[in-house]
Amino acid sequence: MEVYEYNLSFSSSQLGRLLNDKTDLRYRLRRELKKAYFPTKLATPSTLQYYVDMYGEQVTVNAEADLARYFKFQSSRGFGATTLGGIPTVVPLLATHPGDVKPSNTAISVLAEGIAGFYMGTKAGHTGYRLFPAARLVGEAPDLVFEDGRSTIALIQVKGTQEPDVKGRMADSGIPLLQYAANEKHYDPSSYICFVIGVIIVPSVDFQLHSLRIEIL
Amino acid sequence: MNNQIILEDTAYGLKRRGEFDRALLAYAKEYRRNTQGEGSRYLARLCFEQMVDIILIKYLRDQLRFDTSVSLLNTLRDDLEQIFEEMQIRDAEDFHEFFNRSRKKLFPRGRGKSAFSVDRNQLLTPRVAEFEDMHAMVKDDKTDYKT
Repeated sequence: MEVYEYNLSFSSSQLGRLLNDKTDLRYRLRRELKKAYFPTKLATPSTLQYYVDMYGEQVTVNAEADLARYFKFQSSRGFGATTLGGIPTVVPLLATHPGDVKPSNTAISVLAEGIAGFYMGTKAGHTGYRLFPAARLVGEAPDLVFEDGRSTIALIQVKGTQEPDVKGRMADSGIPLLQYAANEKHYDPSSYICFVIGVIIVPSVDFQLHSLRIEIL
Repeated sequence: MNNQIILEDTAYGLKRRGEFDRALLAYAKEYRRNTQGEGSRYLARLCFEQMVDIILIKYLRDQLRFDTSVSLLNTLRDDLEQIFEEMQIRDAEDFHEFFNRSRKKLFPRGRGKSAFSVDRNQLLTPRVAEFEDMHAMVKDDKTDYKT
């Protein structure tokens, strides 16, 4: 998979001011996400369903297979393979209109969470020690909390999609995550890092992961 | 593969795999670490809530049902205190604060879904759950019926 990493940092007081003017905060998040960085490559885990089971909110048997089937339906509509005259060469498997076939939202969501959890396990906190999962919150944000055992706390919000862009949703979900971090830092002055992770699932079930890391100093 | 091995050994990994007794002790250890020295109060609270979550899952798994919400909370408190005693964690002030917070998450204003893996209604006998929800609705109802 391809990994795009974006970095921002705010001091606590600066974040406090920005949270009072969310338009400016959203603008800053979007501006960072618009930067064109070269992606790095990270091997997709061969045991993907293991990570889905470990980090997903919902239970699935094989999320990857569900999406693979969706992409198969999409590609067999004839839009991909046509004659020179534009006549479809493949008969649609299920429906006749492109809008009729929808991917499973559960599969998208758990695959994104699984991939994000796997990716976070490769990251380190402030002190250079590897992050490991502390908890998955139920019915409230953030999605995941990681720590490094040395007072670095990573708060993670994940967005998954099969559409070509996820950055708008990342910027939008970054604001409540930062609000949560600011509230918690008020009571516990540990080192907080917020990760907003957007996962785009591309046909044949590969991934493009966008990670916006926001340090609160 | 390394990533997978690290994950298996964490309290989180144990909980996700369904090894609840081991996960409970692992979270208690994490709680103790975070309430001592330079530990994080946020993580201590998180560990406490994870312990509550695991105990609630165990109640559900063992098919325990409670006649009242008070008896559920009392049993929960006793079980937590027993773990803290076994682990020699003496932290009465934090315990009280974290327990109150967990109580509010388990009974959010008397209605709504609990912010734990197990909803309170799954642990209360059906008649009690229905009555308590109704009671909460009546309490919150601000209609002035006299006029």
